[in-house]
Amino acid sequence: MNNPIPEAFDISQAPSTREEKRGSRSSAVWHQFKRDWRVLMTNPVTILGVVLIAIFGLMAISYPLLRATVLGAAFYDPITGFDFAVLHPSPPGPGHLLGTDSLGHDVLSMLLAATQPAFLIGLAASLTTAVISTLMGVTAAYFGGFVDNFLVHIADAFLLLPAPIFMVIVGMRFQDLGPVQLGLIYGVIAGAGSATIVMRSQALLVVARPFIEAARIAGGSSWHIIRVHVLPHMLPLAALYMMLSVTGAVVSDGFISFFGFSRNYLNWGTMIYSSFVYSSSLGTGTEWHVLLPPSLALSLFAAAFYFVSRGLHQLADPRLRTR
Amino acid sequence: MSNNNDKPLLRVQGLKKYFPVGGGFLRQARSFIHAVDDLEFDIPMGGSLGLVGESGCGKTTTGKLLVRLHEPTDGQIFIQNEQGELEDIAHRKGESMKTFRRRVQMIFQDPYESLNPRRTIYDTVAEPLVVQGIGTIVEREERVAALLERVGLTPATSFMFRFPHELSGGQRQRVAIARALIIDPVFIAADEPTSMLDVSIRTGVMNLMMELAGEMGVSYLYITHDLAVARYMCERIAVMYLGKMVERASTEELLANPLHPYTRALISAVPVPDPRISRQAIDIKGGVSAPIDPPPICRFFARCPLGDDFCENNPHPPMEDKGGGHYVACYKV
Ligand SMILES: Nc1ncnc2c1ncn2[C@@H]1O[C@H](COP(=O)(O)OP(=O)(O)OP(=O)(O)O)[C@@H](O)[C@H]1O
Ligand SMILES: [Mg+2]
Repeated sequence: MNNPIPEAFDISQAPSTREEKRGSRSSAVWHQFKRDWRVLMTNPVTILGVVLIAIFGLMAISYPLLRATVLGAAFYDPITGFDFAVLHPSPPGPGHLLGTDSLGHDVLSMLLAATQPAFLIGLAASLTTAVISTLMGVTAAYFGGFVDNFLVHIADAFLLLPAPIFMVIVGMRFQDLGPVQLGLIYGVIAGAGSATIVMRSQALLVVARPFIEAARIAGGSSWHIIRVHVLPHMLPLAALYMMLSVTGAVVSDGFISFFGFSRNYLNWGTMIYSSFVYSSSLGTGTEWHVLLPPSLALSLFAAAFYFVSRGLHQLADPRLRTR
Repeated sequence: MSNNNDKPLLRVQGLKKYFPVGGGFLRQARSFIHAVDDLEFDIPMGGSLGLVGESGCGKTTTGKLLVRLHEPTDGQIFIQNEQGELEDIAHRKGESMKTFRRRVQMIFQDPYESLNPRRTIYDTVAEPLVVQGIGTIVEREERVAALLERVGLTPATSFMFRFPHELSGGQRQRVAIARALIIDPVFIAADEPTSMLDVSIRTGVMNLMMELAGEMGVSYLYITHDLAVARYMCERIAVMYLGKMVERASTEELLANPLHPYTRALISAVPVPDPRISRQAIDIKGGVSAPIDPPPICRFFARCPLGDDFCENNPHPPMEDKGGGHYVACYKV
């Protein structure tokens, strides 16, 4: 590939250039990554998001360890545990840091146990959404014509499908679906529908900009132009839809539980649901100490991803950078 | 390449670009904008042609056809290949298109939009080398640095890793010029490269372009609606009116002896030594319209002071040599 440079002018007088750009392609990628990371870490909101996600990550990782040590199965198992020493529901106290619900489940254990499935659903859903909507939207916008029409019709069909209700039906019909499968299903629906429509209109704007024509004149292939010039401009929007997808999928998952369809894993939606249902059927009133932790967890979990998407936005648009 | 001076570098024959109006999915458009209609011209090796005309007459479309951002509806675009033979690139695709991309480049009107805001100056200028697989990273860097210095961005090291938004409009246009020249093209289409710049820095950018084109032996098509700019920049000038070329001659000849009524109006309306000619001054009678399915008669008839029955009943006049390479498309001169 390395053709000699045509001798148009004397390059022997070229000044020596910055050292760090030199070297292999991989070091250039590493350099870019370090630069991007530095920019990301100048945004306090993004740092907050990263910290929150780290905390949730810790919760997810620490749960099996805690189960093996201090949270013994007999008292603390989120499904089968029952502590005979206290009257349920019990308020937060030394034995049960966040209290117990009317059925005697330890709230902290449930909260922790639901974290890993939330990550799995969110991760599967957001990645699927981002990949599908970016692929469909950019392909439609870049190639236009028949390809565009075809993909827009598919997106329209998915747009008519209300994701949460579809999820409830799926969850009802296939009760043994795990978090990853549910996340994937949600990601496909959300990604191929509304996200594709929005990604396509964004891509249409990018594709019409003269720097795309400049890249074509340079001799860039379609793949080069899409990868180097179009995709980076899709990043903020893709990040936004990933965030929305995490929220949507985790909430949909809770929705399924809210309709009372049992899951083979615990989620925050089930906790919210049970704080209402059992307390009212047992006549104990709303159990705030049961309702608040999962609500807060769900909100913060969704918010954390939004915060990170703000930083990604800044990264994709250098004009927003403060130097 | 000097032995090919007898042949033009670029030859355009019967070049047409029609844009469909109001067509859609599985629906044939019934009307067409005749944005570029039957152009014919040569550009000699190392020569320059100014393309002037009012807004919407098809200047940009012509430029984009020559660098094959548009595919022509009809006609041929011949360009000398490395062996000095004329090759028709009007409908090139794929790999042979990529080779052709090394020979022609374009400079765009808006330097704020023609540079990717996400990429550094180095990334932008080196891009043609990278996609064409020319040179190693170190060689590319040296070449980019040398060219940046040459276009006046000194020291190059302080510009290479900056982003476009950190540069002024004039600096960005210099970057665009560097990108166009980096793979040593033989032809550049420059689409009003100074019209978005502050008046005070236009001359600098124009001079730079002319100098570099001379040094590197690059021919260029310079698109402008400003006759004074065309006069300053080009050896020859072609005047367009609604998709048609109406007159073409050497700069001195065209300005001293304009034949077509449209060219005359352009020149009389404009005190040529004043570099700030406005578009409105070009107007004759009536307004500008888009050439949507124009009648087959002379395109200028509706606004022509010389038009008569003959013009109304005959096709658009052909370009005719009135002597010494002064071509004009009018029955009445
Ligand atoms: N991609 C396109 N699709 C449809 N119509 C187009 C397209 N590009 C240009 N046109 C039309 O073709 C005609 C010529 O446009 P062009 O941009 O070449 O004019 P111009 O001479 O460069 O004008 P200006 O001086 O304003 O830049 C116009 O009527 C324009 O609306
Ligand atoms: Mg134009």
